[in-house]
Order: sequence, then C-alpha cells, then structure tokens
Amino acid sequence: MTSNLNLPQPAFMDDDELRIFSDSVGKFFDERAPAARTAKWRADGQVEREFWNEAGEAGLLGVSIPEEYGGAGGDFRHDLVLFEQVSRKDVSGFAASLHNGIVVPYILAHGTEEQKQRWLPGLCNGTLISAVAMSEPAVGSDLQQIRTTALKDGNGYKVNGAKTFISSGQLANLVVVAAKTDPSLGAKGVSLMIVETEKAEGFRRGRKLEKIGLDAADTSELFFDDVWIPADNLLGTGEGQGFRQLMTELPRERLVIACQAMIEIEKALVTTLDYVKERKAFGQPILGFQNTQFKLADLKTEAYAAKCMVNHCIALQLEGKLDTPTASMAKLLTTELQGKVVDTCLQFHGGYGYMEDYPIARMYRDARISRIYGGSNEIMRMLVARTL
Amino acid sequence: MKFHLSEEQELIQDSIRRTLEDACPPERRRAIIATDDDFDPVVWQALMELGVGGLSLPTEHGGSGLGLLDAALAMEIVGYQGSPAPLLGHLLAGLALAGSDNEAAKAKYLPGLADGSLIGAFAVGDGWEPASWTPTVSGNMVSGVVRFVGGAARAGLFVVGIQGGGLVAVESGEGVSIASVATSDPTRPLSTVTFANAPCTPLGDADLGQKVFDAGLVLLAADALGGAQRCLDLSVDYAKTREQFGVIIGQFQAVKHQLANMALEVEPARALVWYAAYAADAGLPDSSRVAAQAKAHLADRFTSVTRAAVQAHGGIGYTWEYDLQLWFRRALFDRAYLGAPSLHRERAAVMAGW
Repeated sequence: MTSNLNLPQPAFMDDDELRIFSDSVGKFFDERAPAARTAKWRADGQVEREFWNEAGEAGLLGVSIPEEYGGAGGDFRHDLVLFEQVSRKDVSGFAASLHNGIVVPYILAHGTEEQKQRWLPGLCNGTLISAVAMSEPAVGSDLQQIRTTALKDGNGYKVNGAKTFISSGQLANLVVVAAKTDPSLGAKGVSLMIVETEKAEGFRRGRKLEKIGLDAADTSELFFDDVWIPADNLLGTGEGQGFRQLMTELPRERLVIACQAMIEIEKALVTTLDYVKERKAFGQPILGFQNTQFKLADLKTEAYAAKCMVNHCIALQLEGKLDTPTASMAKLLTTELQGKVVDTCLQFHGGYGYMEDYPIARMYRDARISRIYGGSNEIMRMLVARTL
Repeated sequence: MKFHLSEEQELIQDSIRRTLEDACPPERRRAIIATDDDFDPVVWQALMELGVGGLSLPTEHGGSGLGLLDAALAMEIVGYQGSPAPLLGHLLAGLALAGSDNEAAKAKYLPGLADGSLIGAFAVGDGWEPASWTPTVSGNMVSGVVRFVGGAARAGLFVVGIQGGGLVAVESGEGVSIASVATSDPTRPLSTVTFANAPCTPLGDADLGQKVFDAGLVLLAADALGGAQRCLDLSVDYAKTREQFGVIIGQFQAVKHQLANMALEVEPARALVWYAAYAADAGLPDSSRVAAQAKAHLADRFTSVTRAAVQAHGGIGYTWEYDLQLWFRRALFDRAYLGAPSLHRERAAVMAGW
C-alpha cells in the first residue's frame, strides 16, 4: 500500500498516460536504483554521475520540456509523477525535483531562444546537471544582501564570491549563480549568471557538507574566483532581472516541496501502521492501545486535510493561478506536519525507531531540512502574514 | 535544604479546607451565588474565626504576624473550595495598611481588618499597573472612577490606587458611590466605584503601591493553583465513577493520559507560587518579577486545566448544574483581574532586562 488516506485521485491526475508513465518510472528505478546501489550512494554522499546519464537516456530529466528543446513534451504533472516515484522508490539524493522542478524551469521561462537551444538539450539528456547557487555563508533568507558579484569585463563578466548549501554542488556542471551585477543596489542589482563549470577557470568546489539527513545529497560549498563568463551567460536579456526571475518561479518550487513532504507523510504513516499492527507489547499489538489509535487518527486526519490542500494547489498551478502566498501556506502546512508525523511515528517504533534499519529513522533525519530549505517556514509565515 | 511547607502551614490549610467544607457546602455556595453577592455572614465568620483576615498582619494590631506565603496558602484553599467571599480585596487592603508608615491609620483600621469586622476592598484601575492608576488627590480628598472593584458593596474601607502609584484609604460613605457590573464569575462580583471628593488618608507612595500590587498577583496565582487542583480532582473522581462501553472511563488509556497531562500542568506550578510568595516575604530582588511570572503562568495553567476538565467530563462539564463551570469562571477572573498573562510576561521580560 502506498497510502492509507483513501483520498480519491483528483481528476487532473486521473489519466492513463500518467499511470503508464508512473509505472515505467517505477520500473526504471527498480532496475537502475535497487537498494544496494542507493545504499552505496548514501555511503558515498552522492549519486553516481552515470545514473544521471541513465535517467537522461530514459527521458526522465526533460519530461516536462518541449520536444523542440530535446524534452518529452509533458507538463508539470509528469514531473510530479517522477518526484513521487523518486520518493516511493527511495532514490534519495537523486535531485530530480531540483533539476526538473526548479533550475531547468528558470532557463525555460527566462532564457533567450539562443540560451534555450544551447542548454536545454544537455539538461534533458543528462550531460548537464544543474544547480542553483543562492545562499552564501552570511546570507540565507535575506537574499538582497548577497555579496557575490558579476562585474562587466570586456565582452563578459567576472564572477567573484562564495556560495554554500548548494544542492548537487559536486555533480552539477551548469550552475545558476545569483550575483550582483550592480553591487550598489539591493534586489534590483541581482542577476542570474550561468556558470558552465567545465569552461570556468577559477571555479572551485568546496567541501561536500556533512548533514543530519539526505545522506546521498551532495550539498556543497562553491567558490568563484575571477571566473570569467561570456556576456550571453547572463540569463535573459538584461541585468538586474535576477530577483524577479527567482520570484516568478517561487510558487512552483514551494509546491514541489509541499508535494514531497506530503509523500513522506504518507510513507511514514504506512510504515508505522505496518509496525504497530505487528509489534506486540503487554499482550497485544500496540495498535490496540488508545494512545496509538488516537495519535494515528489525529495524524491521518491532518494528513488528509493537508493532501486536499496540496491537490488544490496543484490544480491552481496547472491553471497558472497558484500565487506565492498560497504556495507558501502549502509549504508551511505540509512541512510542519511532516515534522510532527515523523516524530510521532518514530516514537511508536520505540528503540527500533532510533535504528537505521527501520525506514522511519531516515525519514525522521531527512524531514528536518524541509522546514528550512526552499524558504524557511518563518519566511513562509511572513509571506502569508502580508496577506492579512 | 527543605522545600516544603511547615507542619503549621499544612495545619492552616487543612483547617481552612475543613471549615469551608462545613460552612460552604455546594448547595450553600449555589444559594450565595443566587443572591448576586459574594458576602455570606456564615462563611465570612468562619474564615475570620480561623484568623484568615489577619494572617499577614502585625501582631500589635491584632494579626498573626505571618507572611504573604501564609496568606497565599489560605487563598489556595479558598480557590480550591470556590467559596464566595470578598477575601482578595480584604487581604490586599490589610497588606496595604500593614506596609504603611501611617501609624494613626494602622491603629485605626488594622484591628478591624484583622478580625473581619471591617471589610476592606482594593480599588485600582483596569489598566491595572500602578503607573496607570488615575484617581487624583487634592488636599485630603480623592476623586476618580475605578472599575472592577471586588467586595465594594460590603466594604467599610477602600484602599485606592492613585495617580503616581501611591495608595490612600477611603472609608465607605461620603463621596463614594457604587454600581455593580455584570461579570463572568458569580463567586466574585465586581463593581465600578466612583470617588467624588471622598475624604482620604494617605498610606504610602509608589513603593507601597507596587508591593501591594505584586502581592495581589501572588494571591491570584495561589487562587488559580487551588482552582486548577480542584479541576484535576473533580476530573479524576469523575473518571473513576463514569461508565461508558461497559467500563469505568478511567480505564481508557486516552482518559488516563488526559488526566496525567492535567496533573503535569498543575503540580510543577506549585513551587512557582510558593517561591513568589517567599520572595516577597524575604524581600528578594526578583520578587516583583516572579510575582508577574507566577500570575501569568498560573492564570494560563488554570484556564488550560479547566478546558481539559470540561473535555474530560463530556457533556456534563458543559452544564450549569454541574459545579465545574464555577472554576471555569473563576479561571476567567484570575486570568483577567490585575492584568492578563501577556501583560505580566512583558513586565517580567522587561524586569529581567531582556
């Protein structure tokens, strides 16, 4: 069972083509990302480079990109199906949601025709792995304060600065860097610069950071030391557009995080129900205790309500009507609930919940970041508060 | 180190409890409430004969010479019993006189306050803090309107908070008019008192005003502690008798946990009340801050526990006939009177230098 919420599938997902796609993605992961291989990735702290090529060849990376750019011509629903399978098949560390759901859409939405022709085919076939570099050692949520600069130099720009907490930081060879083309300005001085790392002298990858969870994710520091890039690596047509470009993509990014949190919630409930039905204490399965029943009933109720909201937001997104405050509410609600669910569910496992052998242990570790990344939940609250 | 009540203090609590059980059983409590008055001669006399009025008053004026801690212990039992009595204002009026350096006023009023023949009331404005008190004194007359005064109808002496945070004493009668207001807690009705050029006697400046105000916070916290304990006890008793699905509901794990969570709210709060009273008696530098903390925390615990108690009782907890509603109402009083928890948390944070 993949979920016990018994929530009917919304009409927009009720589609044979999506079911077939979902099955084929599931089979792909069964074959190419079996438990032994993903366990190695977690031990190594990163996914094998070769796996990205395999995913590209299978058409997963460009599933929602138009065919003329090398994609499969699908839409956001196909990406959601893919992200769900990544989670269900426990292919953790494979940053499809970042690549397909966040970075590639920047280029599709804001790139010039020439830029799209240049980069999208590689991003679809797996030769290019993307990352986005926003956070800096001293700048997290308050993005206007970034110190990385991209200053005019001949017919290009010189990029200088340090970035941190960059997902896919070791594997990425196309990095979208938020930098100030005009350091005298705040948000209006920010531009998005595409750094192709193989051509970038002065680019250096720092430490692969050790984290509480997401063991197979190669989150890293990146350094830019007089990295020269050509002028047409500025995303779009003019300087100072970076902040606006980032903002217009926020609702989808937050919705992607909400969807991932929702899947993790459903997974945690399923694995915990399996456990409490099996495990006996004081002469009965622990699901027999009111404490177990009532707490899980509360969680199921909250999960059901949260999933209704997530489905509602997906529908809005598909109609192009999802705004930032609504997406922020979804991210806030689901990730807070995810934290509560994994914590409560782990407690039912007793000592075994603390052991890596049980899935809930890793779910618990992996869950903690979701309240922080993609805009911390305090930022979500500020955005919602502005609508009051 | 010994962090417990003395044998004498336990005896005081025990004798007040037994006396109130006799003098104010549930049916009498209902009868008193029905009169829209919190004064009942039998209950008042019983409390005064035990010396509750003079517990913290000096021995040379008829008191027992004990501290605020002892008054707080008495207040806790009154809160537990939910007995109607204009005791809070009476004790605060006594503490104001006891702390005053106006020897003539002390000699004149304290013996009556100690034996309860003179009922005292405490009149401060609804901005609550001494800095917001508004009545003004001109010559030996005080004028001003003070809302939410307890025990006003029966009071012979008002201790009034005046502009600048000082206190004056006003005898009922000339220049004093009283209008009752509708409030939630029938065991402690309140009035608006208007002083119009009422003759007054100065008792002390802002230091005394603050000290008595802080004592009020501690006494309210003690009342809330007693009330919260009563809600817990009522819920435990109910869980042991009520049957559903063929079993006593206390056998359900969910009910046990509900009750355990209530106990977890009440029991740890007891030490805070004791410490706040002790700090005032010992003149510790943090006494004003812990008084604010105690009032804020206990008001929250009391409201939370009454809510949980209503849930534990099911529909019966929501009825007028069942007495639980009295403590629900007393919780609302303890929460609002002399300032809400948010006000006192803010004050405590400022006093801590945060």
